[in-house]
Amino acid sequence: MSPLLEVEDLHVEIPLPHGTLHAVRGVSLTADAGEAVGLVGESGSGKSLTLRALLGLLPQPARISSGRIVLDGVDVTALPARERRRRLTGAMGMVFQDSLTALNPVMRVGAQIAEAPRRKLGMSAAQAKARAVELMERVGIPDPERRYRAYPHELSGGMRQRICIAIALSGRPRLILADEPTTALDVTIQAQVLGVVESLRRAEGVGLILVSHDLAVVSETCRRIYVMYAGRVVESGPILDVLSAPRHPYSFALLRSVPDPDAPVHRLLTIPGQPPDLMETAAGCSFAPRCLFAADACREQDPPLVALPGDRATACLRHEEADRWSDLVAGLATVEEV
Amino acid sequence: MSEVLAVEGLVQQFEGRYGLADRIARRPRPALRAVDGVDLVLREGETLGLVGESGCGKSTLSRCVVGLYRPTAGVVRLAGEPIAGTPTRAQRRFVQMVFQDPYSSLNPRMTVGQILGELLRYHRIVPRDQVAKRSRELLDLVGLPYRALGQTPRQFSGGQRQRIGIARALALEPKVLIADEPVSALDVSVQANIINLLLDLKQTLGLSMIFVSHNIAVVRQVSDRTAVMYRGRIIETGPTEQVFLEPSHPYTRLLLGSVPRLVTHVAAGGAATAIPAEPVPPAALPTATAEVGGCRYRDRCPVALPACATEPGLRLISDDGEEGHLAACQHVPG
Repeated sequence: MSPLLEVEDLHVEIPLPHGTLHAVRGVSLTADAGEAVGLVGESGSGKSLTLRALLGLLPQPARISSGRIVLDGVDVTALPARERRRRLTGAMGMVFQDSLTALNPVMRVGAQIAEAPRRKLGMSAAQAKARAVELMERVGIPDPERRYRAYPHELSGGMRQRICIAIALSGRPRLILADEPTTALDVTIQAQVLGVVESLRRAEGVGLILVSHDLAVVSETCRRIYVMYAGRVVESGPILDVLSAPRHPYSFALLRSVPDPDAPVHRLLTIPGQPPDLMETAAGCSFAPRCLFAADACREQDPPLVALPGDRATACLRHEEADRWSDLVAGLATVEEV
Repeated sequence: MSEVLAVEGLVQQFEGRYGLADRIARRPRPALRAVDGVDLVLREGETLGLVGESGCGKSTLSRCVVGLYRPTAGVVRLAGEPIAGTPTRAQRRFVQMVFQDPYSSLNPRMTVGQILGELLRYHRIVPRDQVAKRSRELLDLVGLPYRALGQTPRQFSGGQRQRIGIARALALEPKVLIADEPVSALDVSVQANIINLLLDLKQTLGLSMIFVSHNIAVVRQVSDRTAVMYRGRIIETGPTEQVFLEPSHPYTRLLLGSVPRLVTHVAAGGAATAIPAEPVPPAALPTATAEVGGCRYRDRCPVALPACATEPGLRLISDDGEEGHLAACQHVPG
C-alpha cells in the first residue's frame, strides 16, 4: 500500500533583497491513511513552511524550488495549478495556531463551517447547515444550534479552535494538517482540544500531521515523529523509539533541556549557541556548532539522513555512539552561552 | 527565614468600558477585579512560583508588587515597609522585574551600555567614573560579551535579549526579582539557559524571586514554594513538592493533570497515547467580571457541594513549620 501522502526532497526558498533564504532544505516525509505524524522543531526550523507548502499556502515570496508532493500515488507538483489545488484541498484540511486570525471576523462561524460542504461536497444550504451543526457537536461545542450564529469574537480561544477543527473536517478530508493548534491555549483547554482531535482521528480514520515545538504534546498525540533542525529532518522514526533512545544529538539535547513536570532535575541540560542563519551555507553539519559530541568530521561534511533498523533515520555521523551520550553528559559541565 | 516581601489583602480593580450612553442611562461602572484579595509572603532566598492560566491575575499581581499599578486595596510591604502611593527610589531598587517579551521591553534606540548606564547613574549605584566598569561586571554576570555595550537590542537573539533584561534588573542590586514569564517567548532550546542563569544568580547574589509562569513544569523546576491562582485569588499554596505530589484543590488537580507529558514508553494498556478521549468537562468561561458569589471554581468543579456557595478561605492542610500547605476548598477540613 502506498502512503496517502509522500513528500520527496522538498526545498523551499525565500528570495530576499540581500540574498536567498533556503528555509526548507530537502525534507522527505510520509503519512499513511489514518496515521498521526508529528513534526517537531524550533522557530526557523522550517516545520511550518513545510506544512504550508503541502497545501500551497506559502506566504509571499516563499516558493517551492524543488521536490515532489505525491498524493495517492499522483505527483501533484506536476499537475496544472487548478487541478493541484482541487486535489490538495479535497484531501487535506488545515488548523492554524491563531484561531482569531484564521477565522473570518465578519462571517458567522456556522456559515464558515458550511462553506466547504456547499462548495466542495455540493450540498444544499440546508444539508450544509445540518452538517455544520453536526460537526460543531462532534468537536464538543455545547448548544451548537445557537453557536452556529455566533461571530468568532464572541467565542473563547478554546471554542474558536474547535470551530477551526470543524472547518478543517468539513470537506471530509483524509488528512488534517495542524500548525501548533494548541500553543495559544491554556493547558486545561489544550488538553480538551487535543482530546477532541484524538477522538475524531480515531472515529473518522483521518490522518494528522501535527507541527509543534512541544515534544510532550507530540508524544501524546502521534505515532511517528520527524525532528527538524535548520530546514532539514535530522531524525525520524516511531515516536517511542526516538524519545526513549534518540539517535541525533539535537533530539537528545532537546529532550533533556525541557523540564519534566513529574520529575524536576537538579540542573537542566543546556544547548549552547543558537540556530544557524539560513542565509549562509556553512560546510558540515548545521548542528555541529552547538553539538556536545561534534568531531572534526562533523564540521567538514554534511551528514546525509541514513536509514536505521526499525523504520528510523538519523542525520548524524556519530549516531553509533548514541548509547554512550547519556554517560558523557552526566559528568559534563556545559559551557553556558546563548 | 525572614520575610522580604509581603502582600496583604491586595485588590486590583480595573474599570471596563463606560461610554456616554452608559452614563446617560446611569448604569453602574463595570469593574473587573483582576486580583481580588491576595495574601502572600516571600522569604529571604526563596523562589515562589506563581502559576495559573491566562486571566487569573498573576501578571497583575506581580505588577502591583513592583509598583507599576497602584492597588485598589491592600498593602505591599517591602522589608516590612509598606509602599505608600508611588514607591520611593529605595523601594524601586528593592524589587526589580524581568519581563516576558525581550523584544518589546528594551528601548530599541538605546545601546546596552546606555540602558545600563542610565540606571546606574540615576540611582547612584556607583560613582560616575565607575559606571562603565560596573556595566561590564553586569555583562559578566549574565554571560554577555563586553562588545554588547555598544550594540542595540535588535542586534541580539531572543535569549541574549532576555540576558540584557536580566542585567538591567540586576543593575539596581535588588533583593527581590520578579520574573514574569521570563522564558515563554524563547525557543525551547534556549529556555534552559535562562532558567539555569536565573537559578545561578539567585544563588550567588542571595536574591529572593517570584517566578510567574503558566508553564507548570518550569515552575516545579525552579520554585521552593508554589502558589496557584484562579480568577484573582490564590486557591492553593505550599511547598512545591507537596503541591505537586498532593494537590488538594480540584482546580490544581485539573491543572496538573492537563500538562502534556512526554510519553517515552508504551503504557500498560498497550496504547502509546496518554490522552483520554475527553479528559475534562467542557469549561464554562472564567469571567472575572461576573460576581459569581461563593467558590470561584464552583461552576467548573466536578465535586462542588451546596456549601460551596460560600467562598472558602485558605485552610491549612499540613504544617511544615514555616507556612505550610493551604488550599481554599470546602473539601479541605477546616
